[in-house]
Amino acid sequence: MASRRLLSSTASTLSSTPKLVFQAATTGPDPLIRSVVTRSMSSATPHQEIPLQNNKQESIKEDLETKNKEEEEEEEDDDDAQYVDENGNFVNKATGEVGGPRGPEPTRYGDWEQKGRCSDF
Amino acid sequence: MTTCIPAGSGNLHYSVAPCRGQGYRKTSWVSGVAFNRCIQKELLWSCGVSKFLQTQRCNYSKSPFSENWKSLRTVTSSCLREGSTKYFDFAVIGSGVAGLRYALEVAKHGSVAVITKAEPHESNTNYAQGGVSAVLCPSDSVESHVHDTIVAGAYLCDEETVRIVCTEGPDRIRELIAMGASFDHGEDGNLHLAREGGHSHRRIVHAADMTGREIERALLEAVVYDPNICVFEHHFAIDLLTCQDGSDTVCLGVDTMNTETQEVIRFISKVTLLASGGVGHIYPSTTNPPVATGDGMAIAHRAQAVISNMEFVQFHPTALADEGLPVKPSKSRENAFLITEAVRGDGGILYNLSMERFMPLYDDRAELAPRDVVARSIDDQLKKRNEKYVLLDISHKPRKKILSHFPNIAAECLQHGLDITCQPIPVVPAAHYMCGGVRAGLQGETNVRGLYVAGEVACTGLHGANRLASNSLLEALVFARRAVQPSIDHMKSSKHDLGTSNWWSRPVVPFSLGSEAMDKILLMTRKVRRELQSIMWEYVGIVRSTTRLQFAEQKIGELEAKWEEYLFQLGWEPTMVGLEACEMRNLFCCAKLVVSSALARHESRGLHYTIDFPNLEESKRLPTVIFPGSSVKGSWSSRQLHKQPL
Repeated sequence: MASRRLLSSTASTLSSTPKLVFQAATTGPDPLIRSVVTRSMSSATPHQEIPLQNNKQESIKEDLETKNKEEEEEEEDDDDAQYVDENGNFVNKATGEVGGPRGPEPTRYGDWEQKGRCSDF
Repeated sequence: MTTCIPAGSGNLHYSVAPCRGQGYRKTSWVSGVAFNRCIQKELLWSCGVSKFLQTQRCNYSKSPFSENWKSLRTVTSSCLREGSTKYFDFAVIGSGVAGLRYALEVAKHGSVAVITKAEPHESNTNYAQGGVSAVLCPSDSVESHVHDTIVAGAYLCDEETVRIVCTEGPDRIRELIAMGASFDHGEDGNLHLAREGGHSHRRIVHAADMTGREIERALLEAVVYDPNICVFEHHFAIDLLTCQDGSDTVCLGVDTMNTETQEVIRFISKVTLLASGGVGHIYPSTTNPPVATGDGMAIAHRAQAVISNMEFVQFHPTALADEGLPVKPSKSRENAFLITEAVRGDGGILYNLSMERFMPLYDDRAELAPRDVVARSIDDQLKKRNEKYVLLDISHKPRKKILSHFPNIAAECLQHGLDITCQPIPVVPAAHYMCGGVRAGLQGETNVRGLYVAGEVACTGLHGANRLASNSLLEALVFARRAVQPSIDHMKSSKHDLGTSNWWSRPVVPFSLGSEAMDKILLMTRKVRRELQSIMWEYVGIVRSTTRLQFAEQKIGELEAKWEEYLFQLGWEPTMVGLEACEMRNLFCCAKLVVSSALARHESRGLHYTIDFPNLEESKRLPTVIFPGSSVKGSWSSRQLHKQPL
């Protein structure tokens, strides 16, 4: 197996972007405090692609739809306070941005994400 | 002796000499072969030429510019032409931000042809949906932006270039706004600036997550209404038209093929701007749209332009891997779906297909290691285990959180039978951006007179060994603008000669081959493209080695020879052109440039990592420069289709 430091940056190698972000003031909780979940190594059950059952798909779809509605009303604990102003523009209270994306700050982990899809880095 | 049109000053900041104080490195294939010379021609400096300039306004019917990009009028040109030759002051190859920005400026001084191989909005620009970086906040500084850029570029950047770009960026943004681009604002009315990774200050200007699209929209709208600009869509650039003037190569235009009418159109232009974008499709998985086949780099290389830093290919570590989806997409995805770093940031874990968590083996920070480390680790796992993808698992997180933060991923995977709240996501690295390209001076000039470059196709020295987020749109804007004045100067000292268009033999559309042969050629070409992409990914990926690179070099050469022989056996002739065949030859050309460059760098820096030289070497902190090769022997991909003028 690869040695421990096979591909890690040497001291003189410049680390790339996410490291800087972790030191930045983000609008959410400090990412350094986040708990890293370690999953116990499974007994090497190989990955299998299990197609979704129809009723399960339905329930996920419903959840996504509900989520979309709830997003506007609910305050997630790590999301910014957001509201809609009198012109119908979405305002992010913490950043002062008008008409911007809803939900967590797109650049909070260094790249530019839109609901999970990365569009720039 | 023979001379071509002396085409004005065309000052270069450098020749084949140390570049901007940084030194340079020659690669081993410096051409020792003298270029062919032009036949002496009596050139007609007729003052009637100026009349031609005046008639080069194009007639077109204005139609309202609609939101869905479809209403761009078909250009019928009453520009001066001889048969299928068109004469313009400026030819622009590519319709992304660099090409259009330049066109709008030079159009104030002469006639402009914008040549684009598909629809005008099909470009990497349109997919750049983060933002543009610029110093626009009073507490920010050019110095800080310069520093961030150079650090990200692993100190391979050209400092003067970086300083210029960071200094001129803010004005370029303001101009965009004046042109109608609409960016997000804060409640205070100022531009809202985001902070992307690698930037030590908030400086990313953006437009509701669709910045590239918004910039492209604003520029296209202005272009459509500019009477001096003719847009030629579905015109594929085949080769630059060049000749020799003493020891200089001069660019006099470009041959194109109208892929809708299957007609070859020759453009004679006093100035040519290459703004043709990236080359993602040398790899099987890429974020680039299908048009990004490295056409500009290839035609420039064939035209004797100097190429630089092609080994620095930026990959994103976690694109959705279609092979791992239970329900495969019915047709292959045109551009990759990138999974955000936020998934890892929120606790996502990477596993190989044996469900072993591998990141701790490579870095103490595990999944939170820098993106480049993650990309290398994934690549290493895939190559060692001979697998197609790895798994990114976020399913241990609360379902509600997953669906709330990552609804795009959830929906996309759901469509293909995967529930990310209880199954891992298959991911594979995707090629995203080419830091290298045609070597450009500080004003976008190249070593070919009359040829300028801007945007992703150029290697300006801004990105160095790794691009800083949101600097690519900025680079395009700044260099497109900087190329304007030298272009105008060059144009003013050039004159069209009607005889010029006959100097080179014309490319031929292969009607004579018949449809059966053409079908076979098409099928084989598509197969060969996939094989080339496979070789590149296997042997010229993120983690490299000398052995693998040499192997790739050999395999690519063999594949190219096999493909060309197949074509020629079916009757294909060297001056024949077709879209897929020409793209294929350009892909071969660029692939070889990447491999050669990678072999030439005996250190690891930025995006280029090789296990044979795994560390930075200060003495190697130099750009990789490829000079034009000998055209005596070479494949079909390495030669311009027309002969040099006789």
